[in-house]
Amino acid sequence: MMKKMNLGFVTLLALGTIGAVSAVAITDTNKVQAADDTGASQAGVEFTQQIDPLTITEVPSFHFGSQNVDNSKEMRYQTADSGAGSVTDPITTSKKIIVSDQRLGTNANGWHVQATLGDFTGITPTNKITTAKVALSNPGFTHTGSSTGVNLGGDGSTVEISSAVNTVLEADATMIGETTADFSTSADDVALVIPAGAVPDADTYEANIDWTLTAGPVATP
Amino acid sequence: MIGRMIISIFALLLSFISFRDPPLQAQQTSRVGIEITGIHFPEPTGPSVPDSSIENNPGYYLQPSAQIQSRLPQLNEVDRTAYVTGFGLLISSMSLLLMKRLKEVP
Repeated sequence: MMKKMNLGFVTLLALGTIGAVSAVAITDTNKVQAADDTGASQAGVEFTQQIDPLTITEVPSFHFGSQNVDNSKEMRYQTADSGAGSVTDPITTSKKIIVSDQRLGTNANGWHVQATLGDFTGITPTNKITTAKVALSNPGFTHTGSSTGVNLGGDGSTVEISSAVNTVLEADATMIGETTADFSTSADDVALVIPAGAVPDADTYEANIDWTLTAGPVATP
Repeated sequence: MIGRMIISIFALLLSFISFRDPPLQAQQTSRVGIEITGIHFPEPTGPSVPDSSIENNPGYYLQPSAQIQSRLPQLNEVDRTAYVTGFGLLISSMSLLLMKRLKEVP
């Protein structure tokens, strides 16, 4: 919307200039000398903030394949390309988080991404896994400029997304533009961790991860 | 004078509150799935079962189950038949041997 307004303003300015030049040309053709042919005009432009300058444009989904669970100990599973979901369509694995920060000047104060994993629910709704975690590690960062201002949350090497609020990414004020965190460097960058005795029955399970992008650094409690 | 100062401070506070935007936030949801085709349940963690093996319980004999007890008469019949047959064969052999000796006596 603002871009269109700015374009219109510039177009009007250009038309005005052309009109002035044309007037001078007509004057020259008619050999009429103006009393004073110098003047001053003004040009201006207004830059405004985008309506949604800070957005999370892509979040990852994971499927961990078909597994025969050993319920006597903690199990760790790697991702599969895709698989069935218990609720709706099949789930296709994607491993990227993309954040776009288009804020201006001093408005940019960094950002952080937090995530919460819900309960896994089976096709039989009473089948629930409540203590599983999704572990993320070793992300590859890309950015329109330097990507040194963004880090993995937690201890910096691994983040476990559980039912609590978990900080996944932290970025400073230099990360203006588009930042991508890609967890596909190695097969173990994403893992599902299921504690011993957590699975009630064989079933097809599905859970949601809620991702929240917030401006500024992580609030200290 | 004091009243003006109080009003000015109050206005300043109001402007600070009204211009202080809440932090920008954006949210998304993604999905996670797994198909569990089978489970190995953990071993029971209660008290251990007493050792009832005969080796570790000398002088103690297990009571046969009702199913085994019902089959015991059949086993005895088999044994009895074997004993009778064996005894009969023994008597027959001894009789034949005795008759042969008696024929040899002049």
